[in-house]
Amino acid sequence: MRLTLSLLLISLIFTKVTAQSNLAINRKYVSINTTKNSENISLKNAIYLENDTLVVEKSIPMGVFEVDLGDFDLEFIEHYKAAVFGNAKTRRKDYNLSFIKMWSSNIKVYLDKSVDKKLKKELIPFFNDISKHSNSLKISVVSKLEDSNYLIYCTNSPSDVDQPIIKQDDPITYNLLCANNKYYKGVLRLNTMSIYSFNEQINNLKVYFFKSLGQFWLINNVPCESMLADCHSTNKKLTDLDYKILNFHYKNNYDSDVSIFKYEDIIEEYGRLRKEHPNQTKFLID
Amino acid sequence: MSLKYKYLFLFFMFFSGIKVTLSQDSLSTQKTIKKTFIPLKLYKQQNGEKLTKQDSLNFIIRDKDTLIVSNNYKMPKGVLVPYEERDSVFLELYKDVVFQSSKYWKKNIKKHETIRYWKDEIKLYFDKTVDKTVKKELLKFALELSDKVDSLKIREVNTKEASNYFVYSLNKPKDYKYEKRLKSLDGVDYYINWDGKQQFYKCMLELNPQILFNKERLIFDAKKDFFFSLGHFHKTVMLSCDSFLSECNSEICKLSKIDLEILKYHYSYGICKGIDLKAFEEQHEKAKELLKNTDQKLMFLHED
Repeated sequence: MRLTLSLLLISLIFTKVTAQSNLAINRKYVSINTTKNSENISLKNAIYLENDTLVVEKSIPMGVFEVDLGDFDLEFIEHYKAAVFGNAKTRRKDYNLSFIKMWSSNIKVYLDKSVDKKLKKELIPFFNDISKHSNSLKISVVSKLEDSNYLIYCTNSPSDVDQPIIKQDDPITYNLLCANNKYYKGVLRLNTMSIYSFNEQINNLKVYFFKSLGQFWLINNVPCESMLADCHSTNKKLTDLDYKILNFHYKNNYDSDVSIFKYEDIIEEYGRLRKEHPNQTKFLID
Repeated sequence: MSLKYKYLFLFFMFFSGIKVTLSQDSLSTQKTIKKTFIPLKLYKQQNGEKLTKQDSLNFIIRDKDTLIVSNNYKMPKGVLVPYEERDSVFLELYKDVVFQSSKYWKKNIKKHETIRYWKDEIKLYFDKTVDKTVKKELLKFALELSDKVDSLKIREVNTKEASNYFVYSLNKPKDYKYEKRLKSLDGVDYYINWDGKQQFYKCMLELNPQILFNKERLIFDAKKDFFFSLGHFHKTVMLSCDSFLSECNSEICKLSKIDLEILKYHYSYGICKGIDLKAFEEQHEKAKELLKNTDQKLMFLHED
């Protein structure tokens, strides 16, 4: 009797979970009058209004990701996972699990007056290089703060006041605002009293800015001059690996949270599907 | 939901169901005799336990309820509005926005959420600290909503004293933070107060251009938070990112048709206000069943 009840309960729970996972999310509703091909209109999840009917133009089942990872090697994937989710040894135990996060729009940087001209002169070509090599994320410099979505400023004297979202203790730090898993605003602050040498200042600004493009972690076993290398160098520069990680990061758009556990499942399933369908690169994975 | 509401629904069901028209004279003057049936339990509460023979002669058994004729029942003052029917997909969406019902299997279930709303007119007051363009855009947005949504009334007032919705901006580190309970560092946030009837009576909207220095973004977030404060709404995963109510709208977008439709329904008097998810679902089940079986609409009484 108890066994029957347990089985019944399990089957009920299973049905509920299955039903929930089939929930169509991210539904794009459009007026039925604006749809071009009236024969292919699906009325599933349609909403009937007094003078109109809204139909779902596009949606995805909850927990399903549309992924195109293209061709990749496993060594690169290890570097990428380390950059996004942190060190392989600690990331699974970390209390605050990392998720894949990215900018939803291009970055418009405002360089505050407190940023020294010499630093500006170095930073602008750096942004241009990223834009040039990046397939989707572009970075520009704007002249008005109110037109920007990314502020870079320096504290040059003890009386300088920090932005409300900046941690005062760190000599260089950034903070990003996000909605769901997409960034829409960032602030990067350098304290030139603590980091006083020009070389250290510019290297730090470049590294921290690059990290803020995806809340990246620094990684081991890569060339020391790489932006993302967890290794001190006086000659930091953008390497092929940095560009590769950045482009791989922005290749797909994830609408729900992807943790390391989910990501490893996605990679495994993607590899399997690729073998089955060698000519296809885009798959739906749950 | 109070018990009172439930009884009122039953009462109106039968009130509208039984109408006797008699031809009184040759001039065919018509007179309508109305009989008011109320549940026995309610009758006993109001008139004591004793029942006369006459009372029991007029019993009607409906489903599992015993109804009795009441001659001294007075309808509370208010407005009667028929049930507003909507399709099930829309209702699922609405429930997720108000009660976060689809997230049952996730972390954010809101069992105790209710349908909260502004019954009184919203009297907006913009503090001098608010940037002119931001004020102009937000006010325009608010007045448009007021125009489009029945029973949602919004206007600007000239004094802080006369207002129930205060918008202020923290432009400098030393600017005064009027609502210190606001802790978020997102650049725009609101603090709203409601009473036991689940009606809002005061709201403080804080703008922080020090955090949200992009003006377009500040305006967008101000509009979005203002919209959310009209019903203490929640974001939903069901809608695509180009909707105010979507969980993934990280980019600036316009109020979508479905956002507006949800707001209109929220302020429609064809549904009961102040109730929780359970009561909401029960009412809809009852109203739809009634409509299907008898073609009668459940009536909602909204007291003054």
